[in-house]
Amino acid sequence: MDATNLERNFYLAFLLKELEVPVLFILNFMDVVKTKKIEINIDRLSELLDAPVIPTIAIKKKGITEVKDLIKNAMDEQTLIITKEFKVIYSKEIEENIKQTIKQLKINSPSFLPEKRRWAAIKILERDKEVLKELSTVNGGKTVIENVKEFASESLEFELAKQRYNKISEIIHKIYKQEKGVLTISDILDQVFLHKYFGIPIFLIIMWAMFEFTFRVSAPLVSLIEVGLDTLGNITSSYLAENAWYTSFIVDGIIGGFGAILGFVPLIFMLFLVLSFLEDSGYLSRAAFVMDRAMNKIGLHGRSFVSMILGFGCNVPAVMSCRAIESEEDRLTTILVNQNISCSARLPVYMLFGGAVWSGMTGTIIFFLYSIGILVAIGMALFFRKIIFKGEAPPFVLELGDYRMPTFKYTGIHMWERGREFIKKAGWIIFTTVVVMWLLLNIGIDGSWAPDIEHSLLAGIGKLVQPLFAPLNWSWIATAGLIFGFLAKEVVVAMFGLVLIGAEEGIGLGEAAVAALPATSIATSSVPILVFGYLVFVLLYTPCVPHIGAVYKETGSKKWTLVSASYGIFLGYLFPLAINFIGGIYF
Amino acid sequence: MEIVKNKRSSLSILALIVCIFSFFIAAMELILIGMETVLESNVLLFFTSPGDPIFETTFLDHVIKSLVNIVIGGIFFMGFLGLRKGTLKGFSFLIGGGILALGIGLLFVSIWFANLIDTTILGITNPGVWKEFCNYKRYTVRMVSHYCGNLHNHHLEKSRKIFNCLIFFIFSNFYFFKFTNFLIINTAN
Repeated sequence: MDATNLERNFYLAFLLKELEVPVLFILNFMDVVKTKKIEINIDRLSELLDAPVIPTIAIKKKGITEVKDLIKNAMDEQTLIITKEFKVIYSKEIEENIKQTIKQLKINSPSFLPEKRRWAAIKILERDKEVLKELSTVNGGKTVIENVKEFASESLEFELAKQRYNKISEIIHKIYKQEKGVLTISDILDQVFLHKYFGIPIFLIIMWAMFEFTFRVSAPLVSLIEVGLDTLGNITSSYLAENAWYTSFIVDGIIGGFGAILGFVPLIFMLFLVLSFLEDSGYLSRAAFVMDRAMNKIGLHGRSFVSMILGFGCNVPAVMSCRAIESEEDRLTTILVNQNISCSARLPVYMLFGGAVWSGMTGTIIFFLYSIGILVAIGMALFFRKIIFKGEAPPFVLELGDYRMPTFKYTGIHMWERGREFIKKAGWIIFTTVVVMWLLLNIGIDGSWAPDIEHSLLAGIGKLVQPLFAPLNWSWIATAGLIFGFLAKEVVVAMFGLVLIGAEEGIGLGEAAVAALPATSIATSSVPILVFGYLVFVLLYTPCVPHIGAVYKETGSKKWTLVSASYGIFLGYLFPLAINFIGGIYF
Repeated sequence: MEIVKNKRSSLSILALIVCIFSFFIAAMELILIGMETVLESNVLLFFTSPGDPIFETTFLDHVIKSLVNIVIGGIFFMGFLGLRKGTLKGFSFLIGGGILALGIGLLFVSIWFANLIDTTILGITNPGVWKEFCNYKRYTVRMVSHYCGNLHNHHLEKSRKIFNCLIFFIFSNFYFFKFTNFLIINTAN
């Protein structure tokens, strides 16, 4: 439990106690408790909760040995850490209802949770869906549900919560003391970081700094991998038979295509390092709070921004996180707009092209692309909330923990946990896609093996859809990349790596990709416009197939899944068209 | 908070100095849009590492850096006003602005080292990278001689000489200020 916020954490403690399972309470953040000049009477608290309570400072490993010893002793001696003496006593009327429900359970469903009848009765009275479902499957369960129907209601849940909080207040009054007027560093920083006017500019500066750091500091590692892959490619091709299929597969397919994506692994890890740092420091929840003010004005719930922040990593868990949003309108809106938030899979594409066209300011360009994503998400949210899902946004309640200095160890662990997902994806989805693309590149339209690239099946697929993108002037490599990018956006990079591996003598893959992007030759001054348009398309069109699956799972609606998939493509097409048009006037 | 009260006067002066620095840098960033050549020559002299992307700074880069400095300057200005009034909020702004400036300062330091490592790695396989860097250094020396030589150039008007020297002085120190911005705040705090 967070010792600095006992009131909220005790609620969970009460629920656990009601569950009548062995419980050991660990009060963490005792260092912050000291800083805030809070006094907690641990012994008295242990008495009142009728369970052991151990104070800890987990980050400094203080109190961890005591916790381990206590658990070990309890297991060795086969003793429960709790007794059943602790009970939340509710009002007379509710207690009578609980008693009646227990009686019903004993008579009609004696086999239903005999050890935890009081807990089961409370849940039945609260009309807890899971418990009612479970009860209806056992013998006599339906009779119990029918018999207690008159005094069970969903509103009782609020009454029970209220009474639990009353009991919590009583306990806190007995064990908790805080010196008045204590100002912590968190209070001081919040005056600036949550400032009415400075809050959003500070958030934008931090975002910009994040991308500058991510791009520039990962550059040496990306260079190192590129140099390594080039050397590996040269060594491998010199040892293997020339023109053999396996040489092409290893050198072009694996090293050229798959390696092009692997080269960007440090970039992804660096982004996750900064995101983990911001999260561990406590700033990320502040960002959601700051943005809530702006989002509330457009009728969107502040929690939507929390989901959006998750989208910086991957849009799929971000869509899943929308389950926590209670209002159906807000939930659907957040699910539908989350795809505009640029996920880490798009980052290699930005870096490939951005590094070649805007080498001195790739970080700034990436910041702009991310900002466009956020602005489009806000614009679409406005559209959905004002036109389709009308209604007021409910107030946003968010717990702002204290600022903490992130530790190298835990920030590293969080970075690794997120980055590991990218490696897993690269190891399975991306690798398989690259193998398929390599096969398509080596099979001719007429069925021949290793044809000229222009006559390969891959080129055939690219050229099939290319006319649709004729107004945008993108080559078949670019359009084929977008098609396979539906599986995972990183594949766009692999597409260029695979096709251009022989064409990049003396220049980097980025420069070769930029040169291969236009379908017809264009003026040098127009290249940045074309590239920017392509990157905006990559940003806005449907993230990937797993995202479509997640949207379907979370909305349960084919209609909204189709809306999500199609409006992204529409916007993705519209924006580059506008960029080309406006850019064409000036360049 | 007694410490704050005692140091209020010196802290408010510090806040004002950093505020002026930040606004000065913000203004310089905007002026620099049209004066890329001068920037390159002087920045190279002081802080560049091989391959430093400062060579390729552009319009947007300057605009963003300018806005960042305006916000930091604004925060310190609020800090200055608050400290003069003796409010705790002023102290908050000083700390908050300091942390933000420290973060941005660390960003530049990390980028500086990353560029050095990157060029070293690229230089292993491509010696042309080093040659390019040496060319820039020669260019720097030429530019510096050009501006310093102005003093002895009898063909130039006196006002032009002063202007050139002023520009040289400002830009020679420009990144020094930026680089030490966070150090000043950190040490003072």
